Amino acid sequence: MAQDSTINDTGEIGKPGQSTVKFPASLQKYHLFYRQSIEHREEFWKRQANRIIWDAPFTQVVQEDFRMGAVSWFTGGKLNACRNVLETGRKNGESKKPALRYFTDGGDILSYTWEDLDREVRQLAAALDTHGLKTGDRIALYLPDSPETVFFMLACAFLGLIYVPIPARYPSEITCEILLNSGAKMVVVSFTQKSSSYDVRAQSVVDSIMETYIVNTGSREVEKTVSYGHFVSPKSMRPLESSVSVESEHPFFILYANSASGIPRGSVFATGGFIVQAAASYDYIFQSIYEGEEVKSAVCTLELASAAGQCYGLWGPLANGICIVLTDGGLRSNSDLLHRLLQECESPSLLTTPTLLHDLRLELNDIPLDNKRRFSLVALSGDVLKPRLISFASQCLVSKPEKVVNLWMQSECGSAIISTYPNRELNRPGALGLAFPGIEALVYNYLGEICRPNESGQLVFKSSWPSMIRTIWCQPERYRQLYFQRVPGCYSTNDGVRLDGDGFYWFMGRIDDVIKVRGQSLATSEIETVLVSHPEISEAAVVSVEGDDGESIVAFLVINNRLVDENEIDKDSLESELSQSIIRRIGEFASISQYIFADELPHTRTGKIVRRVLRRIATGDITSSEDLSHLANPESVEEIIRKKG
Amino acid sequence: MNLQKRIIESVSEIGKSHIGLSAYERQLETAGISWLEDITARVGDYSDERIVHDAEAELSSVVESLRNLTGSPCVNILLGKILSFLITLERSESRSRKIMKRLLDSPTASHAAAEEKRLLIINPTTGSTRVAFFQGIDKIAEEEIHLSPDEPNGVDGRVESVISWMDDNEIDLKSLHGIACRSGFLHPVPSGTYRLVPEMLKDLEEPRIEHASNLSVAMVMKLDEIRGHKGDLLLTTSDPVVSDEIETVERLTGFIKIRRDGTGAHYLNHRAIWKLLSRELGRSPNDVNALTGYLGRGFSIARHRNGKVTSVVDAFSDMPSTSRCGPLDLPRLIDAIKKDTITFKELEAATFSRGGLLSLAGTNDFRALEGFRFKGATSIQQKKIELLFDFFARQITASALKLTADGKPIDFLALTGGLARSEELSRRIESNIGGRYPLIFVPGSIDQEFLAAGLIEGFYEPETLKNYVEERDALKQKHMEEDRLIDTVIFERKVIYRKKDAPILTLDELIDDTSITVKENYMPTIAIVGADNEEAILAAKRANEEGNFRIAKFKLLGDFAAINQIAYDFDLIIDNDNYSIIDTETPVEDALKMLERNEVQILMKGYMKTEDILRGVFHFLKNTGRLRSGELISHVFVMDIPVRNKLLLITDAAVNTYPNEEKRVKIIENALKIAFNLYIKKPKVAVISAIESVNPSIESSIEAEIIARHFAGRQDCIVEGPISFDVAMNPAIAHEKHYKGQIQGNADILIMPDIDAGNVLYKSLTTQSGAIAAGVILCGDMPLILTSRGDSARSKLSSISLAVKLFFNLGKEMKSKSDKIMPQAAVSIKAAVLNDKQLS
Repeated sequence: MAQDSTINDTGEIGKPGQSTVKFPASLQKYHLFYRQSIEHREEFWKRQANRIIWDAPFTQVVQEDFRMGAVSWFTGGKLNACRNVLETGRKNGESKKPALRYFTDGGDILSYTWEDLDREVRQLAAALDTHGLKTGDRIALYLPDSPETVFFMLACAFLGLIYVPIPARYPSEITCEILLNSGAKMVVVSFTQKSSSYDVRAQSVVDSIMETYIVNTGSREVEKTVSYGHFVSPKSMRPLESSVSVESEHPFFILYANSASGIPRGSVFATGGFIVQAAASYDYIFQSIYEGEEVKSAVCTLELASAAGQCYGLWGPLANGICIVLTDGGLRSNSDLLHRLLQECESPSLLTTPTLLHDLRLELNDIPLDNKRRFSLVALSGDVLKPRLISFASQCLVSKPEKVVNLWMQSECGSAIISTYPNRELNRPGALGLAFPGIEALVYNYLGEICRPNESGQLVFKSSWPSMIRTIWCQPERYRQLYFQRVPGCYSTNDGVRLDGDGFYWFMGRIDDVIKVRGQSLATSEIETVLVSHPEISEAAVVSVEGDDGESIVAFLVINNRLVDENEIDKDSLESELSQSIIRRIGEFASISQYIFADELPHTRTGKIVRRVLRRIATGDITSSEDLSHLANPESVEEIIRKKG
Repeated sequence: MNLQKRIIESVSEIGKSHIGLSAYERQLETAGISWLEDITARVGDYSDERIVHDAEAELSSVVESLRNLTGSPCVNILLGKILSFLITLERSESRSRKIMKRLLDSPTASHAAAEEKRLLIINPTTGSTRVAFFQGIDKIAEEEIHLSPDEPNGVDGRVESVISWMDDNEIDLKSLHGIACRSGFLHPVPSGTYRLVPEMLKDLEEPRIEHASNLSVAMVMKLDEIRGHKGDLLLTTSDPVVSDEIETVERLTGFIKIRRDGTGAHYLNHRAIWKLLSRELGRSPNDVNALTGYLGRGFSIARHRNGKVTSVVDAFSDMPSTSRCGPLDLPRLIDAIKKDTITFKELEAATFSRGGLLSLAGTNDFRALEGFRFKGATSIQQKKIELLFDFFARQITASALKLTADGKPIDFLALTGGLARSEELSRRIESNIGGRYPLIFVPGSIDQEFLAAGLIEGFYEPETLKNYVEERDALKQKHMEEDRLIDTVIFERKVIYRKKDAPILTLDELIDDTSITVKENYMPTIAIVGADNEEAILAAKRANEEGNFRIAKFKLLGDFAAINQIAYDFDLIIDNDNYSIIDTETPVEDALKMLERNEVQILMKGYMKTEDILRGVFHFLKNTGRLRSGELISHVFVMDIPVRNKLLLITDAAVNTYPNEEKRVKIIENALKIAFNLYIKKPKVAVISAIESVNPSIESSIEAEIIARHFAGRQDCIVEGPISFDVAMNPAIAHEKHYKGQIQGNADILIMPDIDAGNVLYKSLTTQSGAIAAGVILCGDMPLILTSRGDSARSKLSSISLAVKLFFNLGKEMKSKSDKIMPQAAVSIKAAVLNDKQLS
């Protein structure tokens, strides 16, 4: 039967790292494939796991209790992610071919073959091992992208150490908080130019930490730090032979959010699940239905210290035997670098952000590159990809419009779980894309019903996938609150989407707002989560209001009538309780200047809270003749205005 | 042939028996009346118990024989009279024993009589508390305790007075077995006797209507508390005024937004006499179909079927009474409100407290009227008093008959309450009913007895006691289900037909007409230029709501992310058919390109400066030859003003700031195009100034005259100016001011002197008098839509409808008439210019 053959096709992946299966190349076949992958989810992922060498086979594909957010993939299996990657190059007989290339700002290109990479990583691993670091220890990598950054990540994986990549752009205070929270035993920094803003930040980090071993991969020597050359002294270090085999659920790395709010939020990813899905996802999106010259090198301008960078800039391509290409300080709308990349790299793909594409478009002024060469594929991640940017990219950077693909992921997802594909039928300009096989995405309205086609609602996932976040480091309760509280039994995102009749997801808007208060960006959902965690509050929405003294926050609250009688509540003490928990859990800057209690919040017929109206109520910019016909409960507005006084 | 023969035969036989019957009926009538007169004389002042008893027995035996006759009018009349008399006799007994026996099942009555339970009945009314004390089935004491105005009128004060009354009558609170009360405006429940529960107090906290009876539950609870909450007291209430068990069909009115319920009738009184009379007729109350009317200070009528009150004429909305106006003639009422001869406050007062007899006669007391009739009234006043009695008797009869509309038989009609004593009324009602049913009068009330009976039943037939919370919630559920049925959509969009080409008089008609135009043609596509704008998206949503009203599709031009976010927030469904997003940084250019390729047909302004879009459109129209020289871009508001019976066009209140005469002539031409499209055959155009005659010191008056003269020879319109706003809008003022023109307060189009005047007028109409405005910019043959945040949903939909209608009609016109219109206009302008020169 045709349906079974789809699954069988998936299963016929022979050698690890090799793709023998083509992703279905038409919409109809995709749907068949997708449906099968959901109906036989464990089977699907079991076959994907064949891409990886397992030191001990797993006994169970998945165990999950999604109400509690408890997730475990490939239970019982043991593996080493790094060895998997290193052996890919060796097995493919390509050990003399480049595995890692680095384009410096100065115009140099550093190139490492698979053999070189293997040696560098084992040597560094030996140094780390000698230093006494044990499986499970954390190492913080506060580094710009460079070959050494890659070495450290791979070497950590080699030894089962948990690395904590911290983007070089993070402010020093946040970095220090992260170091503290993660309990890193070693910090790696890279000093080059005293005047550079990174060096200043790194210096202040170095100054403020004590008793932590600091390795400096840069050329400039700095007190309290040990240089990379000294740390990995070739004389004393012999490359380490055997890697450490870890449990599939062993933490792989921890990614911290750039937020000054409360305790730093570090997402923990699991080794087995991440490497399996990174390998599969990279293969399906970048390679298996690619028509034309195959992608042979993967240019990544996203920082490696991001989920997308980890998946599509590092582990995904390496696991598939693809050379990774890094640039010094990203692409920065530098069309010269663009020319060099196209000239020097063998059929490259480009992974970048829409923002960067936008800047590039301004720089190139919509004039196509005079270079005849094009990227085999351009993948974008990190922001809404507007159709007009796609039309620019398809004119200037690739040969056909469908070779611009969109990757939808939140960093907690680990990899793109919705994306378009480099195929005419599987790509729609402006769409987020199709759901990744084996992952059950749903669009729910706020009444808890599944949306009809094109009706917009919140994007949620009904069951887990291998590369997803496993917990928030040291804060399991916060993990459950953030992702599993809003829609019980589902992982919820903060994205509002619609699903069209063809199965494409389209981004519509954020469910919450990002507000700026006292210079800091903050998602309103962070505050709302704190507010509704109070038992007497059943619903909360916050908006920010431009006032004389900058922006201030106004909270609209609905009292939980089932538990308490609104009239019996001492609102003053409730307000002060709420204020204290916000200060404690987010920070003083997020304190609320006005609380407004309402019987219900204005919402649409599908249950969405209409923040626009709340914002206008807060600013007093609302008239009695206002058209509120889009609300399901227009009378609530009048009530709130009355209560606001 | 055979059949015809049979018919004729049957008719003749029926005729024969009728002759026989009517002879007996006459005999029955005369004998009956003499017999009743005889008994009445015998009974005298009811002082001899034995005589009364014998009379009762005699009457009962006749009732026994009459009740099985299916009522001819003559039998009905007699039966009614006998029963009325019989009840009067039975009620003459001071202890109400007979009445109590009628109200109770005989086993219960004998148990109760034997056990002699001590029962207190409380019935708070405005200014007094009616109390009664029963022992067994005997009413031992009764009193109306009046509250003096300076005493506290709350629960505590009333309870105190009850206790002191009890002390005076040597009734020990501790010795009581039960208390029953008449309860107030609880939440609706079916009729019956309810145990008092604390939830009632909660529901009475915010009663629908303030009434003394709302205090009763609290009073009883207080008495129980004073007695020490022993839990051995049975506390009940029977048939609250908020009882409601009418049939679903009775809940409808002719307007979907207004729904009736069964509350607001004097249930206690209705149910008391229904039960009493049913037993009087020797029948089980649940098998009796009856009508009961209560004629007290308020009037209400109830229909009893199978023990339930399945339909009511309630005391507030359904019939005129002593001080409530009852139903009014709506068109006349609306007209009066529009003309301001009745204010809303007045109407409210007439409905609840100052209508009915009070408004017709200046008193709310029929007895006063009856008395005055022969003691002081002039002959014409006497005549009016007659008229009023006729009126109320008719109204009462009509209301009763209304309840027979379910076609099922009626066993009797009984009237109770103070006014059942009124000779004048009862005589008239009797003659109106004309023997259709036995008509029984039970003047006054037996509500204390009925409350006591409910309480007694609670002791001996506890299954009759209802649970307030359960019944209340079940009724709420039942109402929700009924509402769901009533709200069921049959035709999603109202299907209203009007004569084709008849003038469009309201914006609703405009919307309907446009939808027909769209059905006849196709759904045009509107480009929203700069769609990252809440207002535009809301307007678009209005014009294409699924299942509601669809007249256009939309292309949303602007920033992809911003439009998506707004669409998300407002539940707009982007389906790439009805709505699609065009991601662009240059919406005006792209919109015009799409217009040229006919991908869109109409433009709508979104987040964008009006000048920017107009500039683009102007160049586009010039270049494509769609804007001829002599044509001007101008804005027109079409106003739907509540107090006016047709639409009003105002121009130009938005685009042309200070147009000269020549421009204003073109503005008129544009407005005329729209007026013709609203099927106004010969539009009346008022060129507005401050006055009606040319005054050299008022520039607008000079200009107005010039403009008006441009149109002097036109047959298709009337243009007059200068004319002041009141003359153009109000016929009475036009008449008063002796305005000589053809526009007599009935202008269709107002040409405003400048944007300031236009804007102020439009905004004062919308903000101060509830007018709804549809606006459109006319660019040659192309309408451009412009809405703003202050606009209501109706107004936005109207604006889009207007534009869509103009798009189809003007498009056609341009094709068919081609260049016919414009040269004419050009000639008239030229002629007008000549005239100007002659003038100067």
